Amino acid sequence: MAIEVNGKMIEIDEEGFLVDREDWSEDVSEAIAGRDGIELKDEHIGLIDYFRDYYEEHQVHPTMRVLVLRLGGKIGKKFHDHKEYEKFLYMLFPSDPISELCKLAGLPKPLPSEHDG
Amino acid sequence: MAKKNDEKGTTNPELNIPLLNELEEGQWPSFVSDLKQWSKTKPQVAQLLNQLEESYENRWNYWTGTVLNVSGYGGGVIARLSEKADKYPDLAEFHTIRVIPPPGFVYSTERLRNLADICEKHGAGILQLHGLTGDALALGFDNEGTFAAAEELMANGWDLGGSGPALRSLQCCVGQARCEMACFDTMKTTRFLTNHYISFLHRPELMYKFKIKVSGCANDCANAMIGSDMPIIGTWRGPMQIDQEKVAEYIEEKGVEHVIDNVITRCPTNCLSLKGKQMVVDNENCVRCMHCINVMHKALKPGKDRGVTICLGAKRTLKIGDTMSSVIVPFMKLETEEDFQNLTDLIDRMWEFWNDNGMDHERIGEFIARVGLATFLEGCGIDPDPRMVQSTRTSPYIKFEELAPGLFEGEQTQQPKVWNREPDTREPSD
Repeated sequence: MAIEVNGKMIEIDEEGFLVDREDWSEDVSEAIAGRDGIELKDEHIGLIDYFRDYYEEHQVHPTMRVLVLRLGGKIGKKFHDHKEYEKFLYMLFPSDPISELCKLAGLPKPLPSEHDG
Repeated sequence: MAKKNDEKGTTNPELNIPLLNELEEGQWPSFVSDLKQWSKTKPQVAQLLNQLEESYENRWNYWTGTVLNVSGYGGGVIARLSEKADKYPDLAEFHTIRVIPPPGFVYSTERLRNLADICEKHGAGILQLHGLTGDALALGFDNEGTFAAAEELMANGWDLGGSGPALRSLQCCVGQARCEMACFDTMKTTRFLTNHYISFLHRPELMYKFKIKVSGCANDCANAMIGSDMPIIGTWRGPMQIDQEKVAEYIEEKGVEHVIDNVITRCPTNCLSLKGKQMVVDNENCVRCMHCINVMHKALKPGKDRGVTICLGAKRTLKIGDTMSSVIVPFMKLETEEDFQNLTDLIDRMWEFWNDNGMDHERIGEFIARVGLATFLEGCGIDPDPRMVQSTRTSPYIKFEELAPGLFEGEQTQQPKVWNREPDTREPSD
């Protein structure tokens, strides 16, 4: 499967993750977002940049916990109040924020939780 | 993918299940009989049985997991794909939806019929009420069916939640609604906590799963002590209630030998004795195990000052072996608004410390085992207490002399220092 960005064909897998992570550019992420029906605005792009920086530093994508703590930590005093920021993330990316952001930032696909039950 | 969708619902295969038929024998009701009956209506159920038969034959599990989320939710759907999708096209997507149950699992038949209708309309129509997870599980949805069923469930007042590294659906026993032993209102507690932490049920964020179960007394009908990270169990302080007339009646009816054999000698801490036809209880040594109350339920009752004990840390084997819970809050009242506020404060503090310092896929019990109870208590701002023991009356974590030096001379003035994990030599230090 491939999508066309600026006249160049970019290889992606079934779910939309980049096959070659070197292919990433802002236009590519916009094209993938368009494929998933998301219009990229400033909030989205800021989060994508954060994901790329974080991955470069830690070699692992940020978890929801990290996002809520680092970016939403200023909201409220109690642990319970941080949850508001998560709601905001789900508003931006309704299906699955972490997986969607990894996709748009050109990071590897996050592994599903081993023990669901 | 499109090709598989075309094949869906067309093949209704012959059942070929000699091994599963064995499970129909015996006196007990069998899931095989039910599913066989149901497979006449739903082709995927026949395929499901055939695949299970194949699994039994080859001793191999053909399910694989994936991630599927309803819009705005991070949990609630457990996505399962079959590796045998070529052979069984209807099992290519066979997802499970977790529906949050009402407290105490009490449904009206109308609501239950509504749930069943929705699940039958969009999926295989198999309900599992209730797993050890406590949810109402609806099985057998494909991708479109999952979204359609979720929409319709929510429109009818149901809610999904409790899968992945999140707070799981809460469970409780029937409590004061139906039971004379209950020491606090379990259903109110469950409902309050579900509503308060509903975001944590919908959207996973924790290190790993966290289960809260609520039992009204130490009989523990909700299996809280073994099956949840944080059991909340009803108990009482002070003396238990004794109606000596009823005790005398019971002795006359059953005989002294019966009472001695079944009540007095069965007390784990030997704190019961008979004085003529009167029962004498050594309340200071009573561990509130409920045995005597269960046997002589007319004569004996839990005490009047009732509340809850909060424990922490039961889990199945993952990083360390199976554990049962141990006490974290020996006694607290759970009646007023303020008490519930205290409870959520406690949970918030524990979650915060666990999530800040825990490792990925680490249950809270394992976290405590790794960092030590002393560190955990300090991190959560909970005062250490001699009653925080793993096995009651045998192995205290902490040494009494080290913990409470000031108590012997009246009130405790100095805070105990952090004690050594390994108690060293007995030589007096200056």
